[in-house]
Amino acid sequence: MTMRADVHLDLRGVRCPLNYIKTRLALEALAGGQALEVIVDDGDAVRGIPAGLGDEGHEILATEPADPGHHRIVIRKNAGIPSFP
Amino acid sequence: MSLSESQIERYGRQLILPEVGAQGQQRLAQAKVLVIGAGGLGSPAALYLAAAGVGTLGLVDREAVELSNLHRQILHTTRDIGQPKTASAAARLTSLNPEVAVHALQTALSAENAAGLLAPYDAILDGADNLPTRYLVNDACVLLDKPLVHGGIVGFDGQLMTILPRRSACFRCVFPEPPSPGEIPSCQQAGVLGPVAGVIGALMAQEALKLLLGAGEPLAGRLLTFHGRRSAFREVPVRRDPGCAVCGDAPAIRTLQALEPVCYEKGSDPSRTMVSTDGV
Ligand SMILES: [Zn+2]
Repeated sequence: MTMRADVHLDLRGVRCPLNYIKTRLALEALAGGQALEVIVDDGDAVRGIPAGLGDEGHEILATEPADPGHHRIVIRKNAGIPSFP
Repeated sequence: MSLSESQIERYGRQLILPEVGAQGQQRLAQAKVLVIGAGGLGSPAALYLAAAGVGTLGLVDREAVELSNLHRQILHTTRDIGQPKTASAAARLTSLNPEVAVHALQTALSAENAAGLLAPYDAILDGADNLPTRYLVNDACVLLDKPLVHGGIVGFDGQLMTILPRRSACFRCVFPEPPSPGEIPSCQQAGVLGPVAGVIGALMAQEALKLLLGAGEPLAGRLLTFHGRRSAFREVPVRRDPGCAVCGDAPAIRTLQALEPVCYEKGSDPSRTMVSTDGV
């Protein structure tokens, strides 16, 4: 499935956990309901980023191979999580 | 202001907390916290606040580092003996996090200088080594309307309370009068186990970060006591006393006043057993 994202973040070559932290910071800047696309290196991040964000109530719209060696993850920010503070 | 790459990396593990995030981190960077006493409690508290990226840390202490401080005052090292504590502390904190501005206030807090010293800060941590200073800091925070985190340790035990002036119990509401000098043994006799300072000092930093971030629920109206021999905590509800001399409805104390210098050690009155001190 292909899903349009509002913001795109290229995290190729960014290691764990920095790729997760940057994904979280990018989500913080979005409004609830907006979608973020990140491109990450294949490996731990492909499971770890969706798992971590899913636990916090964000919706994982897609996790799929992108160009060779990388995955594309699309996340919709949970509208129910109040932006803090 | 946006976070730099190195800030994202340095603060990453707290940035990903929903209560922190980039906004919270910027709040911390703009915050000013004053730590009274660069000793047993002030050491862990200041280290954690600097590590967290609190932008400005003030440290008040009048003493020099002594060998007998080092089992609990983890800001200082053997090499620092003889140095002013605030200078030793500032060097350590700056090397931990160069982004933090440390104000070394090498002076004794007094009724004359307290208001001026406290005024620039958003929150005050009291890790003073003597009771007169504790009452003075409490009164100054009430009069200046500054949130105060009180911590005390003696032996294996400690206590902690956050004071939101006129909204929650202040130190005087809970402990109305200092013990008289005759009630208490010499300043030099109170023993303390080093890690107790770490337990309470770290919790003081945690309370300060919560206040600055607006996160969680402050430890206000609750006195938390730590019982190290059993490794247990207990929470005692405390209420603002409308008759309190400083935060009550008709306060007798309207300006800062000096108190007789007294020290405190474990006494017979259990309500006072914990009101002790760090740097003795
Ligand atoms: Zn009071």
